[in-house]
Amino acid sequence: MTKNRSKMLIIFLTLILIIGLVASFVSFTYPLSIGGVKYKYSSFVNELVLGSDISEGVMFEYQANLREGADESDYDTLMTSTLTDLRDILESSGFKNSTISRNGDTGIRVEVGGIIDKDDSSEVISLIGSPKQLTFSSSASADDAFMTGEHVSKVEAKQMSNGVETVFYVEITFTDAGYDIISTKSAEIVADSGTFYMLLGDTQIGSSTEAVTTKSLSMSSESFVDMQTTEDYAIQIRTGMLPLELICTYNGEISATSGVRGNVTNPMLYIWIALGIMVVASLVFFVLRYKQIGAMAMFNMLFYIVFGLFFLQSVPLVHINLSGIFAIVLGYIMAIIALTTTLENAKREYARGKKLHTSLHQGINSSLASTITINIMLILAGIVCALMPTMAIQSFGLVTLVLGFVNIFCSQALMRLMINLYLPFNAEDDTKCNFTKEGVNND
Amino acid sequence: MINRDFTRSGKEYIKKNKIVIIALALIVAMGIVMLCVFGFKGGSDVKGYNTFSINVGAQYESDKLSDYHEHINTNLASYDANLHSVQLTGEGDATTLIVKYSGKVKDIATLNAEIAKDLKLNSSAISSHTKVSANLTSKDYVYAVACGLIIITLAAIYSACRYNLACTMTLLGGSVLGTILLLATTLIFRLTINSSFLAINILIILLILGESFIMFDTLEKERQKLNDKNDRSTQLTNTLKANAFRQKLMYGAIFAMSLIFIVLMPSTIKQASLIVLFATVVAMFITIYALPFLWSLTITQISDKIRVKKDKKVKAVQVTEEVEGELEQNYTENQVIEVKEDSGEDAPSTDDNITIE
Repeated sequence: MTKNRSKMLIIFLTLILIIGLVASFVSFTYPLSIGGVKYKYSSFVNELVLGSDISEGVMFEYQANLREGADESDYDTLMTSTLTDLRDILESSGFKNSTISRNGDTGIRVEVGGIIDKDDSSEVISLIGSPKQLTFSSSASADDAFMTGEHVSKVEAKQMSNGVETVFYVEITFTDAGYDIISTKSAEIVADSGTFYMLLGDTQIGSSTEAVTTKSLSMSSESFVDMQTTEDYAIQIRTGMLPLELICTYNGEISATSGVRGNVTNPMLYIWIALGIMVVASLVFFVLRYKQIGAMAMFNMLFYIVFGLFFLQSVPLVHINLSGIFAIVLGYIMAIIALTTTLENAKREYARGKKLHTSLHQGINSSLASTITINIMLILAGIVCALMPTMAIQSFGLVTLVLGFVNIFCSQALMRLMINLYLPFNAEDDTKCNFTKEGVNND
Repeated sequence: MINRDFTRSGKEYIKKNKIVIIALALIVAMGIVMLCVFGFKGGSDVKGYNTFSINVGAQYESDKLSDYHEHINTNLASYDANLHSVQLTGEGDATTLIVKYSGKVKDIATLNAEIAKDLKLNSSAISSHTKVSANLTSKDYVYAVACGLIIITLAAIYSACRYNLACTMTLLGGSVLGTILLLATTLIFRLTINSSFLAINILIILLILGESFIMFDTLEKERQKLNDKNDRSTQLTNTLKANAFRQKLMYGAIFAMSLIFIVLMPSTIKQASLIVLFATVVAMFITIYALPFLWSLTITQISDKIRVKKDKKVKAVQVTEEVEGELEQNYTENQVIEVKEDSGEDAPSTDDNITIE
């Protein structure tokens, strides 16, 4: 590579890096408006899905009552099922960072994290803010209900396409007992030229003049314009199937579950400060220990940060709670390990008498195996952890998985490029890299 | 040969680190005692907690939040209860502080009255105290252990394929020792365990595995490169020293970050960061001291066994050769005798045998 070409590439990469850093950390409103609306750019950092333990969320408190006809001795069992169902509902809605706990004897507290903006907050409130019982009734009133949601086994949002248009619908599957009841009752109602209704509380959500003859019932509506609206509807129906009747006594935004410190309610602020100090310290270390080639490594680490943040906010399912923060630290440390291994190997090769450019190339070649090994291990560990249902381990695994891939790219491909860009400027002077010759040439 | 040379370094490690080995044994023993006597100290995720809310209403001022926190903490401490966290919710008249704590307060009414007095509120602003169940179940621990075991097994299989038995044993020993030491220190220092503890355990295993692979790669390369056995020994020690420098800096960075977390963060994160701090110390000890020690020890043991087997084989071969020689000699003699017998002559003298041959 010629010196001029190298210079041009360095300038180009610096510009990309500056844009990347701005995109990662700075949110702003676009200066130009489109159709009179001013759009806001949200930085990668802002778009990270954070857990309720480190960021603000929404809290719900419920009073959980037995439904009509339920046996009081079953209360604890029904409570356990309700807690599990609530967790399932929230997770299937994408709100993985939720804390659901029994509050006293008859209360439930739900704290939902991963709230990026007010829209998310409203969405959670509309989904589980006021659960109402699902009933099947012979009239438009729940008083005439002949069956409740306890006889429904599954509610799913589905879509069907005939090549021209796509129809979205909700499929309700009954249990065996539920199918017996609804097939008999619906046949009786239809025989009397009547209609049977599906209600959530007192709100009618569907009706039919045909008898149910299969275990699944499909419901479509004009309001099901896409999969998202259909899924939201399905979730609302699922909240109506909860074993206990939930009366929401409170809902509102709440600070992180880890609590407040001093006058600050947002622990993420301190987390960024701590991570920032770690990053700055590592960058200073690179420059002090390896001088100019250390500066190239610093350049590489900054790219790692931009890529890391980009993928952490864009890969679906990645959510960051406290365990995720520790995974970020682990990923960053692994990146430092990879780069220092490369540079230390190069330094050792130089000390043994090789030329600067040869030792730098040998340094990165000899670190290839170990870098790939530790990152593959990181990726495999990430996959194993991500498959676990425990939220803390899952968050740790997903973050580790993403950063493992980023690390392989940065520590090998990008660092190789950095070395190639550096060599046209200095292929001889060891003092500029803080390398020293100690031994004799072993070649 | 290199194994024998490096054994000296291994022995030096033992000599130099006698106190460290004794200290390790003591730490593990103390951990076991603490486990038997007190068990693990579970945090709010593990044991559940008590909660109540304080409606501070419109009089709430954000810059006085730390004062509220301080008053609540002091009052709870005077009733032998531990404050977990204070959260803020609602706006205007609905502004409420949600307090989470552990411990059984006998006289809740008096505690409420004292908190209300300190916060200059009416007693009715404080709700009744309720117990909230734990978030983590026994299943979660099983998943964490399964996760750790799968990761270690995968790493061990890889190590066995890529390196050798000594490296695999070192890797397994390091990971197990690291986990045991982390559990022991958590028990001894009565650190509070929350859900992030499971992740920290996996983190320490990954750090140890990562460092093991780097070490094996470097050491195996050095072993192959250098021919002279004295050079090898010196070079391996130098390589380990160079690695240790990088490792110390790296762990220093995690250590510093954990300290910042401990100083700045709310108590829940502070507790997790304390465990990370101890985990860092354990990982540093394992990767800088224990892994090279284990590697030299296992590689010596294995090479010793191989050498003993080889010696035995050599001896066996020598004995067999001697026996075979004798048998061959007897056979030849018999043949000669038979030949002589066939020819109807007397048995020949030894000299005759030589002559025949």
